[in-house]
Amino acid sequence: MISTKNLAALRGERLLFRGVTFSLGPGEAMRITGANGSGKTTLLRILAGLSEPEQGQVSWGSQNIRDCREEYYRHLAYSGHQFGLRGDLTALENLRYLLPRTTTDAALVETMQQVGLERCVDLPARYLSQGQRRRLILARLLAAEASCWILDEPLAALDTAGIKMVESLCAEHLQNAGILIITSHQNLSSALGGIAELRLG
Amino acid sequence: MMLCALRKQFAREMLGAFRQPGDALAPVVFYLIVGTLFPLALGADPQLLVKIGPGAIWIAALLAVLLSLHKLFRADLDNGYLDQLLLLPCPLFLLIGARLLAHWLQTGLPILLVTPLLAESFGLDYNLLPVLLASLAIGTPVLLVLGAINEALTLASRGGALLALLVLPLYVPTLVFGSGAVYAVQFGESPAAHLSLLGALAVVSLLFSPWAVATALRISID
Repeated sequence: MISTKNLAALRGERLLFRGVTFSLGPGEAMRITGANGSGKTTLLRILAGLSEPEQGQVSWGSQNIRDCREEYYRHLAYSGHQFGLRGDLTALENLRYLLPRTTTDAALVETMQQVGLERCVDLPARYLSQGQRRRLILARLLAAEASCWILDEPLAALDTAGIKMVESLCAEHLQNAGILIITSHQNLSSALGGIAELRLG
Repeated sequence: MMLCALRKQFAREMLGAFRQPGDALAPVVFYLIVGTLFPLALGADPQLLVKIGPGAIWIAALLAVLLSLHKLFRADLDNGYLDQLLLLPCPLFLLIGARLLAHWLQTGLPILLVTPLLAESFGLDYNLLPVLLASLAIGTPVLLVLGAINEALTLASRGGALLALLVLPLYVPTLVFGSGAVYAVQFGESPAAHLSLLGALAVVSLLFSPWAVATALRISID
């Protein structure tokens, strides 16, 4: 379970948000909305423990995430605006090195087939399009077997089929008692309908 | 999972270097160029060359390591991998240790391998070679990890000049003891004192730097 208490964040001198308090248990999801610059990405980075909040704390279970980073990160999959792909390594190699646990290439290739990247396995990542990079990150989400997903604009640059895929993956993740925190400017379909919404700004 | 994460971190850095050999070998090529320019510029005075040789070689090595520092984290900061590195379920200082080891194998080791060539171009006596190599073998890791701390700290400010200003004073003891060891042998003394001081520097900096780099990275990424 991930919970926050009274989070506040500043950008420079400007207050982005304050008093953000919520709690999400297994199978629960939350969508964070707000205009550009309202602090969605900042909030997600704070939730992932990449940034420090000005005030308040984020807890995994009953512990502050700062005190249980390893335990928290075993369960967390975060995907930000940037993909963390190294252009001179192939798609498969990038996927392999983004996953901390032991993996077999055969299993990873299978995961890449699931997200429609079967023809890009041995292509250096710099030749992948934005949408294909997105799909590679989806493959990582699938292979990571994490219970808490934090996704920053996962639908950006994806085609219609890709968007459908994200939605069904998220729905499946929730059915498997996963936690999902997502930002998106596009409306999510009814497959994910009825999830809680947090409006910033 | 932890060992696997470390192994993968090391493998990623090494494989990346093999894919971009030109990029990976730039520091050692720079080292060779600086080291060969000295004898060319100073003219044919064998005694002078022998005298300045050890110091010049050490300065060239120091600058080559300094030149290689920008490769440590900057590309991975830009492509977002550093975020993912911080989110791996493994103590960050160990991951940093694996990364620094890979980086030393790409810069420090090649520097050691071509050093006999430079020693030859300065006309250094062959009995100086063991102590020159020993001092560089102990010294280049120190230069690398001290530079890594500063690189991690200045990552957010993107200040190349700032890095050099901060790191050069820290490099002075390593440079003094490193080249001092070679000069000691040249003057017919034992290099033990210099080498043990250099070794002490190495032990302290290698033990603490991964932790310092990890902390600095968390601050820079924030």
